[in-house]
Amino acid sequence: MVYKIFNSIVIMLAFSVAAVAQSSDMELDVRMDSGFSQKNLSEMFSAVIEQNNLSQFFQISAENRTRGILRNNSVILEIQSEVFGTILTAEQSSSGTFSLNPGGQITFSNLNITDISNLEIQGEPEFDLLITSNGRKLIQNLRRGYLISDDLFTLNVKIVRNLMNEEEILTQESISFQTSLDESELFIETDREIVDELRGLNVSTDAPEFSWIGEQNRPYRLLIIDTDRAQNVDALFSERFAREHSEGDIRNEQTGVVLDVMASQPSYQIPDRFAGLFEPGKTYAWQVQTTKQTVQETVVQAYTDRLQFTTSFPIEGEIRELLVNIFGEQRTNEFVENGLLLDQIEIDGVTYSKEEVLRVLREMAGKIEKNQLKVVS
Amino acid sequence: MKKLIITLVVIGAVVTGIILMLSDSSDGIYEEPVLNETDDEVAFVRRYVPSVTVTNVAYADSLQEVGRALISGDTLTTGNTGYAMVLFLDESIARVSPSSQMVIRSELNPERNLNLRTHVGMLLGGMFLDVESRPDREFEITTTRAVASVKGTRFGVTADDKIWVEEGEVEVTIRETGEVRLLVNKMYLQVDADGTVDSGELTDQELAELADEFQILESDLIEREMKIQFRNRSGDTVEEQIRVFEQSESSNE
Repeated sequence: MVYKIFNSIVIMLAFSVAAVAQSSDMELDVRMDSGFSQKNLSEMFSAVIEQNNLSQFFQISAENRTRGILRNNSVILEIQSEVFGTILTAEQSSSGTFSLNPGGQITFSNLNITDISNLEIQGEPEFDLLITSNGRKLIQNLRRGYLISDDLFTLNVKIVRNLMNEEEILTQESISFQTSLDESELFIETDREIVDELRGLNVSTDAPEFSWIGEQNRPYRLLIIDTDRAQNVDALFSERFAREHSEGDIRNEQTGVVLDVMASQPSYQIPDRFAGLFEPGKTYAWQVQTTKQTVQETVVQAYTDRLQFTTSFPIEGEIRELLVNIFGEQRTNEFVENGLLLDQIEIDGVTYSKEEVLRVLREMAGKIEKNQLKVVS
Repeated sequence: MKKLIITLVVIGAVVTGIILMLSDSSDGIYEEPVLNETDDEVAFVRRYVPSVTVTNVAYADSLQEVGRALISGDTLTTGNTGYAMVLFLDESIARVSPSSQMVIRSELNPERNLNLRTHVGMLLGGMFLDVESRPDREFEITTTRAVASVKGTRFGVTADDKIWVEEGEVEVTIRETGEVRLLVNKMYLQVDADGTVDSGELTDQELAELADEFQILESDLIEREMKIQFRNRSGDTVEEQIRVFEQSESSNE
């Protein structure tokens, strides 16, 4: 009787030691690679799904801190997000089950073993994948290049012991990382060369092209506003972009909307039918908007900077006559032959923009006519 | 007989002398007045639009600022864009048009503060004058074929022998013939190369147009640096620099 009681106590103690050893004697460490960023999210899912470690995105290390052997262990990885819930579960199959001797270590890069010591292992670890429908949607949207938005992702790793077709969690550890909408994705870069070319545009001969940096086959909305005509340029931009684009409302001279058009590529060539759209010496503001989808399938707006250009004066008509007053017929003809455009005037260090050039030249011409001003050289 | 011969010779000599005297005056040989000239300042350049140069035996200065003093014997030259307003000590004013040249000579009073006798030799171009009427002073302008003696007036003279009077009186001597003509309000006189004289009266509009040329000198002038920027076909900036002289809005004479 006493013997039976003793045996029961020994067996109970052995179980209770084993239970205590589950969490404290197997040290588990999960960490994201130092170079990991949310931009690698899609690749990380690929690495898990394809079980490759072409690049390391996370690392799992386990070490036996006991004096005994921890047998028949395997790894379960679960990736979750606050928005999508469980995305996928990768559970190690019977292949690659490992037993860690005292002090034995095993290290995974993604789901591939990269380092082992003091252990026994049965073949290469293989993982069974379970991707949820939400997870499938996320991974698909990532591959489509949709914007990553605000979320919290967690990698939950468990080391389980397999005993007679029963799994027992020895230890588990998790690591989380946040993602957020990248503000830079809401900005469309513009083609500097085009921006420079638009400055001093010769409206009498040039049909300008507006161009920006972006993907083909994406809907872009180009809005050009006459800053002299618009009462409040910023408000007009905001109001137009907030409104859905309408092909029946692409111009509104009264409010200062020069053009409000859609383009399916990152450029827009002003067509011939809009000849005379721009007047010399006026300043125009332009901006491009496009919509982008997030992986959460919401829509955000992306914009270029709001840019301005002022058109130059071709040397013809009144401008030519005004310049003849100053430079004489011969010199003015040389300007015309050389294809020069009047840009701006500076008098005693004060620069008069294109809007003021005509006024300044007219004043000068009036004074020259009345012999109140003489041009010396 | 001998007495008769002597008498005839004397008569002949007297007649010849008279003829010679008459022929001298009809040849119109004009002799510039002899002035008692000193190195004193006789006038100042009150306003100008470049280029204006003042030359004499010892110097040839391009004007850089107003207030330049002129001494008797100075030659004042304006370039093709140049204007000058010369203010004499007696407050007579000469406004000189572009592409002009004149030699200014003047004799001052003993106090050296008034021009007693002024002589301007107009070699090129033209000018418009305001001369104070004073019985004790002379103001004379010579052109190639005329001499204008001023009695006090606003009048214009060109080197090619046109003289017109806006108001006042000018006595004009035709150098070739010695003929003297008096020009008064609105009258003009032009001596042509062949010696013929055209004269008449100007309309108010013609007078205004003649005076208009000198309008730039009616106010103080401000020099301005002006840069006119162009763009060439490559989009590069091409800059033209000019200097302009503009009437000051605050000062009007």
